[in-house]
Order: sequence, then C-alpha cells, then structure tokens
Amino acid sequence: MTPAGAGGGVDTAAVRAYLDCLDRADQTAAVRLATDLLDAGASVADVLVDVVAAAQQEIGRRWFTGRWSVAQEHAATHISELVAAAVAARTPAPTGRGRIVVACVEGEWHALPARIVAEVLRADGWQVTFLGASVPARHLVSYLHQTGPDAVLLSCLLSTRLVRAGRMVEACRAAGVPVLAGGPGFGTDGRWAAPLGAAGWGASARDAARLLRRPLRPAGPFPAAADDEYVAVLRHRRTIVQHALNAVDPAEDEADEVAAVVGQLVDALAAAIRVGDPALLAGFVGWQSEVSRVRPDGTPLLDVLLDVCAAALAEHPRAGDHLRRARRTAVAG
Amino acid sequence: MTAARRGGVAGPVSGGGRAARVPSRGTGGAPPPTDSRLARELLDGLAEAVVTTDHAGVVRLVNAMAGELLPEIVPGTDLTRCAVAELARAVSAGADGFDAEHLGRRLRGTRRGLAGGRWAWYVRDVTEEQARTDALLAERSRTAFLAQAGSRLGLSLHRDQTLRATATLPVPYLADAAIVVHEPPPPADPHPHWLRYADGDPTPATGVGSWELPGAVPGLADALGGDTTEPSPWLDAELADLAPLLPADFGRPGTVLVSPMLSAGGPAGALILIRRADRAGFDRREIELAREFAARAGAALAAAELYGEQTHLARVLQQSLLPPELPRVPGATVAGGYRAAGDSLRIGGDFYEVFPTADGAMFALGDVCGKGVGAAVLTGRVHQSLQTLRLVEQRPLALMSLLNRALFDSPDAARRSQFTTLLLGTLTPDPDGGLRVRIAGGGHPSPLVVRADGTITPVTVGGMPIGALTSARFVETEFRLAPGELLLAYTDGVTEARGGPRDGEMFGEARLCQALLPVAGLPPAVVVERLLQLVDEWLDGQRHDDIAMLAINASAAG
Repeated sequence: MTPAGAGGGVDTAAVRAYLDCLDRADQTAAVRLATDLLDAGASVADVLVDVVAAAQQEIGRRWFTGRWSVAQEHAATHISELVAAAVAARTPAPTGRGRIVVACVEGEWHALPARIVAEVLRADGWQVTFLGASVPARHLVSYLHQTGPDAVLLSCLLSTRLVRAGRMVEACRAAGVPVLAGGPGFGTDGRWAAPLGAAGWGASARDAARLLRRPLRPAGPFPAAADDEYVAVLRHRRTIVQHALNAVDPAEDEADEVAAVVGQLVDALAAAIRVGDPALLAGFVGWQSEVSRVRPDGTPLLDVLLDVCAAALAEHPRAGDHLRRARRTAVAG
Repeated sequence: MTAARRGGVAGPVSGGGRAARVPSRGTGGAPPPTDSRLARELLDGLAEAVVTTDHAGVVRLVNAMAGELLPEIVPGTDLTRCAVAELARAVSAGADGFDAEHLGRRLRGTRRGLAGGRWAWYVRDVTEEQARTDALLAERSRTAFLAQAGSRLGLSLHRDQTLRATATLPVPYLADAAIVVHEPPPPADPHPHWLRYADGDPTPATGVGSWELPGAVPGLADALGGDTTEPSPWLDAELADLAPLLPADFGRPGTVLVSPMLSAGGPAGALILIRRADRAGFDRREIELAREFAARAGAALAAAELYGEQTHLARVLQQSLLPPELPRVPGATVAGGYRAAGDSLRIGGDFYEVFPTADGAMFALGDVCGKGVGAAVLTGRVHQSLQTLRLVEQRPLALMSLLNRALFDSPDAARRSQFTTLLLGTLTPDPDGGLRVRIAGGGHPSPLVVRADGTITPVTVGGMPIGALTSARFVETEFRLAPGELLLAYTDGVTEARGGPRDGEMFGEARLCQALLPVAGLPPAVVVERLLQLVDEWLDGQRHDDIAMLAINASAAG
C-alpha cells in the first residue's frame, strides 16, 4: 500500500516523515511527530490509521520483499507501539458509550493493528480493554464472564488461523457476547467472517467505529460448518508434516521452517474447508509462491507439499478438491 | 372432506363430529337410495350441517344440524345476504370454503357443485378442534419461549449480561416493556437499580431508583420480598410516581404484572411486565409463564452473582501477582514477558521483579514449583519476603540465604515440600555505559548473555532451589555487560515448551539462542516479544507451563 491511501487531517508528507523516523529507528522523533499532529488538530484516527497503520503496511512490504529483516520490522513495530501508547496517553477518559474488548486470535502476534483499533475506539468514547497478542480462548472467555462487555473485536491477519478464530467466535457467542471480526485474515473483503459466526467485519479502525455505532443484537443460531472434514484434516496435521519432511529432506537448520510452512498449509486447508471456500487455500498457496519468488532462500517446493497433503488425505474428498484447485494456482503462479 | 357423489340428495356419512370418507361405492355396489324419506332421515342424522341452494343461490334444503348451527338459514334464504357474513362473502365471491365464528361456535364450511348449477354447503362445528389446536400452538410457543429464555440466561455468567437478557427476553412476547428491579452487590450504591427494555428500543436503559420506588409500584415491595401478587391495572395516580421508569413515548400503560425473581438464596430482584392499554391483560397461562421465567432469571442472576464474587477474589489475587510494570533503571533498559499456564485464572508460579536501588537496581526472576492457585499463594509469599528482606540486605548471595530461611521458617513449609528456583541479581551502571551484574543462583536455568559480537553464552550460576533445605548452598557470579549487550533470564517454561510441528519436541536452549540471534541489539521489549511469539508458535495451542523472561540491556532507557 502506498501512502496515497492517507486522508482526513493528515497528508502523505506525514507518512513519509514517519517512515523516515522508523527507518532511523528514532523513537523520540516518531512520538513527537504523532503528538505534533494531534496538537495541530488531527484526530486519533488520523494519526493512528492514516500515518502509523499506513506506514506499517509499507514496512510489511519492505519485509516481504526482503529489503528489511525481521529484526528491523520488529524494531519499527516496537516504535509504532510506543507511538500508539503516547497517543493513548493523550486521549481523554471514555464518555461511557459502552464496554468493548479487543483481542488478537490465538497465535496472532501482529498486535499493532488491534491496538490501533482499541485506541481509535477509546477516542470514540468506548471503554476499551485491549487483551493483546495471541489471546488464548479460555482467557478471553473468563474475561468476558468477569466484565460482560457489549462486544468483542477479534483481529486476525492470517487466514491460516481461521479455524481458531471460529472457535473463539463460538466461545464468545456462547458467553452471550457478539463478535466483530477485523483484518484481512477473514478475507480481504471479510467474506469469511459471517461463516464463522461474526456479527460483522471491518478492514480498519474506522470501520470498527462505524460498525459499533449501530446496535449489535445477539445473533441467531451459530452457523454450522458445511461439514467437519476440517477436523479430520487437523487430526492428520502431524503426520502430514512428518511425511513432508521425509519427502523434502531439508537441511537440519531448515527443517523447522519447512515444518512450519507445511503446518500453515494444513491450517489453511482446514480453514478453507471450515468456511467452505477453496479460494482461501488457493490464496495461501498463491502467497507462498510469491514468497518463494521474491525470497527463494529456504522455501520448500509447494507442489511437493501439496502432493504430500493430497496423499495423506486421500480419503477426504473435499480436501482433495481444495488441494487440486490450489495446485492449479501454484502452477499458474 | 366429502366424497364425490352424483344424483340425489344423499350426502356423505359422517359421525363423531368429523366427516368420514365413505365413497359412494362403499355401499357395496347397491343403488343409491331413492326413497326420499330415507334420504331425509339419513341427511338429518349427519353430524355435519348441509345446506343446498338452487342455481339462483336460494336455499332449498337444510338438514337438522344446519338448523342447529345456522338457525337463520332456512329454505328460501338468499345465501349472499344470509346472517353468517363469512358464508355470504364466500358465496358472493364464489369461494369453495369459509371459516366463521357464529353463535359462539367456530364453523368451517366447504362447497360442492351439484348437478344443474346447484350447490351444497357442508358446515362443520370445529370449536373444540380449534381450541385444541390453539392450546397446542400456545403450548409450543410457550415451550419455545422458555427454551430460548433458558439458553440465553444460561449463556453468561456476568451479572449485567444476565440482567439484560432478563429485560429483553419477555418483550414483545409477554409484554410491551419489561423492567428488572434489583439490588447490585456491594460496593455499588445500595438504592434499588432498574433496567428497562421496551419494544423497539435498541438496547435496555438503566437507572437508579429512589428508596420510595418499591412502594410506588403495586406489588413491587412484595415481589422484592419474595411474594407474588396478581396483575393490576395501572392507575393514573401511580403513573406519576413511575414516569421516570417508562420510556417517554411509551404511552399509557394498561396492566402490570410484578413477579419475584426467586433464587436459592432468596429473591434476587423483581420483574415488572407492562402491557399497553390497547393490549389484553395477562391470562392465567401467561401469568404462570411470567412467574416461571422470572424464577429462571432469578436463578441465573444468583449464579452470576456467585461467579462474580468468586472471580473478584481471584482477581484480587491475580492483581497482586501479575507481572509488574517495570521501573526505569539508570544505565539499563529492562523488559519482562509472561504467559501463564493455560488456565483461565492467568496466575501461576513464575514471577519477576525489578527494584531500583541507590546505585542501580536489583532484579529477581523465579519459578515456584506447581501450577495454579497453590503455586500462586507461594509466589505471593516469595514476593513479599523478597520485598521486605531487600530492605535489609542487598547483596544477592546473602539475600538468597535470608530468603531461604524465611521461606523455610514459614508454617508447614516442610509439609508442603514446595520449592522455588530463583535468580537474584544487582545491576550497577559503569561510567562507560556498561553494566556490572552480580547474580546469585538458586537452582535456576542459566541466564544467557548476548555479546556485542553476536556470540551467546550461558552464565553458569548454579546453586540449590530455595525453601527446600535449611542447609541449601547458593552461589554467586559476577560479570560485565558492555554497552548494548543483553542479559536474558528465563524460566524453564521457555525451554521445556513442548510442541513444534513435529512430535512434542522441547523448544530447547539451542532454539532459544537461534531465536535470539536476529534480534540481538534491539530493545529488550522487542526481544521479549519476539521470543514469546516464537515459543507460542512452537506450542501451537498445546498446554504449557508458566513462561517468564526478563531481558536487560546495558543502555540508558530511551
């Protein structure tokens, strides 16, 4: 994403200046830039969505194309976290709109987007609890019973975590709390939010604020999965990983990474079956081929992995169908 | 339904109030009766009313039952203008049937064409049938309502959520507005609180009533005391007292039904159901249903209150044990990370702490054996002892011995045979930006040092766990961190995390070092976050022990 997406009270120059601070790992300058924008009349959403989130997307791109290392990405994200905290410190106390819980799906460690949503909602008058990265479902549910919020906002950036996201939505609804889904993990247009039982989906903090302005009524019955083949797929996860490692036979220091990619592939397959959309697995495979094109180092052969999955799941027709379609994507990519 | 027949006036044979299906050939092939007296007798014996009309729509024949059910219709009546409006309409419209309420009965009629443009109407008395169907439907909707109420009330263990469900569920099925009057547990304002939901509201409204409120609504004081009263019409005088409880645009209320929300521990509140003036009052069945619902809501509310008390206790314990906000330390940047074992209490046996001292700081990271509340209690004791003893002793090795004695001297420590592994250290900044570190060990995994050149070495400390033996021996080691170098102390929950994409392998020290390499030189908060993430990914949702780590960087905090 380019800084051209910026709008509201800030201009693209602010995003460039902010990226520059991140580039120099200058946290003091980054915080000053944000607070200066607030002083100049920009809203919390202007600063956090149009500057910080926009810059983070650029950082994601730099990491993806290999221009930045994981360490640089982490350091930059850390600075943006501090900026979010500094902006939060200047947000007046909530005006009593209601109580909201913001959490990341278990296994989701990209907490900054959810943090930004939390701060924008706080500035919008909500009493917000941000539970942070990778929230275990049990912790979330016990928190819901303790505090009885009006809604849970669940952030998920990677579709491979959708099976878990679905379980968390189910758990929240079982505790009587509606869930709003957020982030591209639910599909770039949020199409997988409804099949998992979410009451709505938003791409950004502004979407979240808008969705919450409408009343959220307890939803009807939980949407059942089309079938439970995804459970069988997850049961085979470990076997598939072992087969894949035997087939690829990576170097010792690459084994963990290969195993991780296979695990994600199985998760994506299970998620695709869970939401009943072969496009999910195809999307994951397409992204992986893109990764291996951009960064050829240490990325295993996707078609070998797809073959291993297909062989291990031969008894499961739906999985086979998803894998065949994904394979066409891999070949086309 | 009647069978097809031709020629003659003989209708279908019916009995027991229901038309039986006897086709004309059912007479065994005998010719249809031609004797008109016999036909008349047969016709009058029917349990169904029969009315025939000629081609002009004028009634020609009525049987005995028609005389009973439709006494106004006699031969010569023009059916399009007859006293049974629904029948008249059906004839005019050429419809094949009608349903009517007539003379206190439910009638259902069907039409059959006869030869020569004549028509026959067969009319049945379905009063009882209808009553049974109505009762069945009412019973079904009542069951559905209670089932829905049961599942919604059972969802949440939170008091406010339960109150919200109690106020919203009966609207509009049982009433046009519902108000729950309740007394929240301390430390809330002891005045009666209320929560109201009216048909069409987006969400329930809440408020606090005066002490006079229970006396102002007839039956409310009784209900709050656990007694039931009959529904009462709303009087103008009471309306004035209650105006603040009703929505501004609600209009004039008709009837009010107040029910106690009983629970095992006594009344948990009262439910006021209000119907508008244009809606019928509560019938016996609805009153029973309202009582039943209020009782279920009361039980759910009592359960939520009990859960609230329990979690409050847990939260108090949690708050005293959750990882602290770390203070700023001269010459160092510190960050801690913590993931409690997968129980819903989020408290456990790992802990860390940093205290500023006159010439630097003191830090501690420990692991109490066991999990959950039991371990948490001992963690609290270790914490407290440490807090106190550090005031008199700040040399790590001596403090460790003191702590061991303090824990060992506490009542029934031996019986519990619980022990703690601990790292206890001091940080003293050097003028050049480096840090002098002195660590005493009590059987804890060796911390790691990430040197400026990227090498990672464990600092061997050793020692024996504390709180286990009076004669336990501890050791101390001292080293220096150059500017930018990092010390990472962690609990065995990190290295012993079992998971990974393969078979329940342990995360291990090698993977920990591997993970540290790319983040060496970054702020400690980033290092801790990255390590927590990798361990979490490694665990992939598997159960794990408490995980704690403390990263210390020799550099001034930014």
